[in-house]
Amino acid sequence: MKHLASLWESVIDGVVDINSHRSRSVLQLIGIVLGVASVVATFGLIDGGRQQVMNFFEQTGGVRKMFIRNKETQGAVQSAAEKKSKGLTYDDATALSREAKLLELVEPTMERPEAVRGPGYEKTLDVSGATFAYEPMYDFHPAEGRFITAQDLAESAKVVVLGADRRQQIFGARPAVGQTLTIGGGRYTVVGVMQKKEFYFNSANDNALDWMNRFVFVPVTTMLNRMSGDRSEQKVSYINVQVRDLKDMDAAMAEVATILRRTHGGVADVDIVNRAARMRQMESEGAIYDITFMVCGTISLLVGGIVIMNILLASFNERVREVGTRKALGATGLNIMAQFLVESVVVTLLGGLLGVVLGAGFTRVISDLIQQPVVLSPRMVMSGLTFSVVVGIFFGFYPAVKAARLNPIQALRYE
Amino acid sequence: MSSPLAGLTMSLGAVDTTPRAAAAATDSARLIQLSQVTKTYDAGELAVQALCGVDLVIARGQMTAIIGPSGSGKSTLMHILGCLDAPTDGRYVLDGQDVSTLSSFQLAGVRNRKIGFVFQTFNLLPKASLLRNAELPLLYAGVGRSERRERAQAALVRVGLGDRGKHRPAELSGGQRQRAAIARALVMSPSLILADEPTGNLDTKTGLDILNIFHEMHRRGETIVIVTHDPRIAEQCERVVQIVDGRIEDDRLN
Repeated sequence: MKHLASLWESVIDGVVDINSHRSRSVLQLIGIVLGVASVVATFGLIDGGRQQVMNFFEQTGGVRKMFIRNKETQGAVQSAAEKKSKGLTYDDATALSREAKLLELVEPTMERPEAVRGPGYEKTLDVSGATFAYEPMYDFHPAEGRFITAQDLAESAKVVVLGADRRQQIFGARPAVGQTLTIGGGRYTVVGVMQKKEFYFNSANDNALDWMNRFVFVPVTTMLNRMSGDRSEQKVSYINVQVRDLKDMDAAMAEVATILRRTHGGVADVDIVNRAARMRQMESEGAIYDITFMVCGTISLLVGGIVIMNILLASFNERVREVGTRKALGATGLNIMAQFLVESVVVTLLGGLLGVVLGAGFTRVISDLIQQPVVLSPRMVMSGLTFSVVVGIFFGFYPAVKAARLNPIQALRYE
Repeated sequence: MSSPLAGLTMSLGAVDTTPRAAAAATDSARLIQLSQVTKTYDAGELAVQALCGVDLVIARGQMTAIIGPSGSGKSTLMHILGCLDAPTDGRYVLDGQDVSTLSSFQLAGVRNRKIGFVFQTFNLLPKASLLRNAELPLLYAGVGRSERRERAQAALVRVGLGDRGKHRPAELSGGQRQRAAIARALVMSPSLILADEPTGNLDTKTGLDILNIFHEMHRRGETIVIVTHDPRIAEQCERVVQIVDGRIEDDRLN
């Protein structure tokens, strides 16, 4: 207990000692500060980029989304069964929402160019047939009026919902909801206008989700049953599904493939694009960058550590007599070691803190320059600090042991 | 307990020891008892014998000077007395405890509790205040902060530096620095004050001042051993032990 108390006192003593050798301690700080700052800055940028991609995914269906599309027919030779299959249909979507247990949302979408006419407006636009599932899947909500409802789908209602920019183009400042548009010859009532979707990767004037603001939505059933084209086949352009639980992604993918193979008469003529798998791929690609920056960061911290050891050793000689005196007064080797270690640990910890602050400043400046948000996660701060303390212990150890082992008589005689 | 007695006899047998010294050396009154202590240094091929069979008894409350020319072994003797070094052979009983076989970790504890060092070059921590310097031994004894402050301040008052606690050594004269070092030596109330040429770096007058502090401490009952080559200082001590060639050549009371 008494030994512990005296050890604790030498820890405190070590801290006091740092204060009394300020210029030396500042020199020691610099290496660690820069090392930690560079690590924090690079990881802030990497994590910021990653966060950006995640946010973008979140805006467009999240990582739990799977995109199902028709496979491109390869070559001219097709088997009888392949000829028989019609590709993705509305019935496929119905089968999926009825049978697939791991799916939360199923959204069949049909896209087709149609002539759109309004008061003083006439243009051929891509019109999208969608279901009510589009809203939760894309986190895309109406700003005015409403979105497509189940009732619209059941009745093949002649209603239209516009993207924010599209509404602006057609109606300008005039009210839109309640007005009538002519689409492909039929008259449709505008029932809703969507919120403006915005997402900027690098530049403030390049909205990556601009296409969503140009939507012209009608219920998919309306498009299939009322608009021109082959109505019997009920074909859709693609189906998006959202899996209930991220961990079931692979199982859900198999489930979807099984169901669609059956409805397509045993033909595997669809591609299923699994976003989580994409993400994993991106993660593993990103791991290379992580490792690269980790190596760079480690090297700069090592350099910082070597600076610390160097200065500890360089100042060692002027402290030999001090160590001798302390030993004569009753300091044990442990006391001396604690004092030296504390010095390097406190210095590195302080350097780590300053490094985190400086690194945060760096990322701020860089993010302003490249117009990309950066992330300063507590995990990064913690690992920066932990790393610097480890460096402090590691590089402080040799000088500390060397000091602890000094023979008091020789140390006292040292000139 | 046969060897301490033997040691005593041999000590008495050494030249010119008066009955007064012997009378003081009854069992519990013995603070230091060296019996047949030798110290050999391995210097390559050559083994140097710094001490050859030294017997020495120092009673509590005695003020002893150890003198001798350089290379005589007096420094080695001081190191052993101060538990900075262990004898190659023989026995050293300090304050009733055999310290000749202790580990370096245990010796650190003995130095801390029982010995107060005063060095020729003061050896104060230059960047620390006098109070902090005087606190240092208490720190290694694991004494808490407030008690440390109190006792260090009391020790500084004892050497007349009560109002200088906040100063750094560089702001003081040599004599004041040595007094601060004495305060540091006193702060643990050790059994033995061991001073190595305490006036060696001071002018004559200041040296006398310091010596007066030792006298004052002696009057209060402290046991003091001063290692010196200055005969004028030795003259002022109660007892003078002269070392030549690793042996006690002379042991007399003034």
